[in-house]
Amino acid sequence: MTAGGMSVVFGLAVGLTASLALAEILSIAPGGYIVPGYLALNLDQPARVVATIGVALATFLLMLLPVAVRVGALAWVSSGPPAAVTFEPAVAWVAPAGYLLLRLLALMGGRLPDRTTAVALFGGGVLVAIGFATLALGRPAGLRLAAPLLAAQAALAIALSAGSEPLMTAASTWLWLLLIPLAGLVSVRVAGGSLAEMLTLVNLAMVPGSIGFLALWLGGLALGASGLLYGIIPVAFAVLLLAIAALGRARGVRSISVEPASIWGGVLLVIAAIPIIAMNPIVLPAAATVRLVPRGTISATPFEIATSPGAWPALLVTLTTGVLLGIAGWRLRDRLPLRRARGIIRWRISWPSWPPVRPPAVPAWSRYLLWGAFLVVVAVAVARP
Amino acid sequence: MIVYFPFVLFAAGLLIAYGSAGLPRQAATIAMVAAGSWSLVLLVDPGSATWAIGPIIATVLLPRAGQRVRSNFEGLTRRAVTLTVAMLVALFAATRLPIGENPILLSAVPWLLGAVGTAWFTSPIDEPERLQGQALMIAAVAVVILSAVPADPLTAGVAGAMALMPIAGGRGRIPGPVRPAFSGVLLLTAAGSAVLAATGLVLGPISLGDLSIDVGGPVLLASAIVLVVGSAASAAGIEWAALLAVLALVAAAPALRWSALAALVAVATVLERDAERPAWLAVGVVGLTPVLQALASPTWSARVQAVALGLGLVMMLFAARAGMLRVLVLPATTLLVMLFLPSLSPSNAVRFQWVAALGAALLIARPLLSTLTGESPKDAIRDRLLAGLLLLAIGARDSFGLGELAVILLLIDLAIVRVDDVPGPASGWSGRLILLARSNWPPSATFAGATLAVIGALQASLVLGLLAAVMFAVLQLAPLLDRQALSPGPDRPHSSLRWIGPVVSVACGIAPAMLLRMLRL
Repeated sequence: MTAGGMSVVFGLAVGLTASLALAEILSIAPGGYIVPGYLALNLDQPARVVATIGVALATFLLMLLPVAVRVGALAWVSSGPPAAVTFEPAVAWVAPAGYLLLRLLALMGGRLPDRTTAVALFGGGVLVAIGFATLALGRPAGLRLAAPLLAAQAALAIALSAGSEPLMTAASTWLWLLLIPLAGLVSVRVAGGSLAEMLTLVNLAMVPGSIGFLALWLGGLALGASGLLYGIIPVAFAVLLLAIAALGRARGVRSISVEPASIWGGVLLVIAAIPIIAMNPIVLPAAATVRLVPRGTISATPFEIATSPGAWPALLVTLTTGVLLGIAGWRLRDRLPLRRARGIIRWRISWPSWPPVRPPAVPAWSRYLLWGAFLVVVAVAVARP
Repeated sequence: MIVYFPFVLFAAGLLIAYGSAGLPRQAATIAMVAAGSWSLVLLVDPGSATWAIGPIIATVLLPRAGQRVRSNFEGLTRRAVTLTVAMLVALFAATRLPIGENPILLSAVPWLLGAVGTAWFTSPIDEPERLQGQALMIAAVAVVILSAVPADPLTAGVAGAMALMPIAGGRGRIPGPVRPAFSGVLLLTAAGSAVLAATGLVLGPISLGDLSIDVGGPVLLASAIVLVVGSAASAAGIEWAALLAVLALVAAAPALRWSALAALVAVATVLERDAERPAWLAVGVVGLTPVLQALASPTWSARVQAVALGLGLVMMLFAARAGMLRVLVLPATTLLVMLFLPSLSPSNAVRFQWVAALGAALLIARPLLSTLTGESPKDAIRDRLLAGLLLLAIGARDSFGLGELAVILLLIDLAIVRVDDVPGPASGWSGRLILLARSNWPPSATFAGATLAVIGALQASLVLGLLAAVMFAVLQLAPLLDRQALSPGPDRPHSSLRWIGPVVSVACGIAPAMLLRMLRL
């Protein structure tokens, strides 16, 4: 072996040893075991070393970016003037909510205890979705509209979680996971009539070609395979209401500018068009933690999603929907937004004013009952074999 | 016959103490302590007599008034009933936990000493008697454990010296010019402990004479936490109390460990007496574990220990609403319980989980009930929810240790972040950072701790997970329920280092996410 070859082997061995020792002592696996050796071998080329460290630093900062954005947004929004990001913590709550639901399902082996519970969860979820979609009909464009639309999609995700079929599990996982970036998009305050607003509304409308509709399609296939296709009727009704509420407030695209929100919304539509981007690396592994998803249940290609009951030409549908919406927007550009122009629905839905409620009188000694009950439980815990 | 002499001396001392004032009463109290020491010598070995030095000095330092304090019928009745009940409980405990073949009247003397201390503390006739009661209670904690788990002379002496702490808490203040330097030393020590803990080095027990301290990894981390809390959030001048918490954590001898914790409670309640009785009850219940371990029948010892740990923690969380009880005693007790939990068997761990879960529900139900009964709630529902999540997290023994991580984050949140007064309207970056640190937003310790608590509880069981999830959900509505938070709260110790709370909160909110990301969890 040459001297250069020896130095390569020696450098890699020392680097690997140091990395393994670090991992053993700190119980934290370094990003790459090979990196120290690689750096040692390139010490005679400072530019390469600096570039490597620079890329690593940039990656690290990128990981911190979401937190930095939130911190910055809070600082900004506290100052009074309209801020770019509303700090309604939808994105913060959707993520743990989705995790919790999927985790609970996993603990139950991927299926609910009995059919009655499953039907109740499905029905309840769809009813809540219809309720939020109806509420959205009375909301003006902007954040007040987006919040109930997002909540309706979350309710549909809960409804889809009721099924025990692998397809249904994949559908609910897809919807839960992609609701998180959608919630983030909704949190961004955008200008009226901008491209970003239109993309946000399209994503919220659950029209064919959007990320939400793909989940409904998968869920519909699962229901059809179980002989429960009629279950899709109330879901379709909810989606119809969502589409009316969202697209009815669309003001057309009057300005096109490249801004984070429009890129974000565009990326979500690209994922809907080419679902393989998210399906294979994220959704199917996550669904597999909930229940067994047999290999081949869903196969994704760049153009479509194929399942045993049928295939979904995602790219084609998204492009078609985009073209149709574009044509419709161009033809109707003088009458947008449709619902305000025609006054189809002028519901003013608001929270009812509650009569003053006086809590029932509870005697002061009732707190001793609480402690007594607790001590009884403690005694039972001691006595229990 | 000689084995009954300690009891006779104790009984004589008790009668004289109740029937006299001034020096005779002081001498009678010293006689009761001497009886305890004599009993210890006969039960264990003569070297243990060093325990008595501390309580005797404490009694000497607490002079009694020459004239008897006038009392009324109600006061006398209350004192008599308190003493009788305490004595009966002590005798019951002594009969249930006999020490070998020794007569009950001999082994009951340490318990009776604790009963007298409890009675004086619960129904004191004046302030010196209350302090004397605290000193006797601390001394009794030490002597009862020493009689069950013997220790060498130096350890016994230091454990007994803890009885001086109620007096030190009332009189001992670090001078103003020295305080920043002392806080800095505490912080440096904490940093050193944290670094040592992070490296995972296994350090063996360190012995100073026969005084042995354990500085294993978790203990170092726990010590670092209480040192940071002690320097950042202790009341002005008594930052040294953090050292008592550290002693409780590192002491290898159970007698020293639990007497140090009792001394910490005494120091903490010098300023904030609102919930001192539940706090003492908690120390008494948790401090029973080593006695049960040594003396109780194996058939029921383990399960009572598990329940005692759970009950004691619930009581401490109930008591630690404000002041030093919250910033120092709560972390020390919780971390001590956490260090004990791995020794529980799976079935007893489930027992602990049930007590913790019910305790969590109780803690939350109390303030809600207060609003219904028309009382002004003394504590924020938000704090109670965090305490409930802490109880659920500590019971969750998940394989990744997420529950333990959640406990530490929630402790930091309760003890450091929320101690100072709520700042006024946010102005500038400092105000915004404080608002962020005290919020439920993702970069704060609250969010990280609560989320990890839910995940940890889910790993333990479905029911605990659901309960934690419900608490997490209600936590978001807590600001609507905490109307009394707008009114001035109870006095809380003010931090000398105001920035530490917010910075620690945000750092603790971010660090677990990064760590979990690196661990690929």
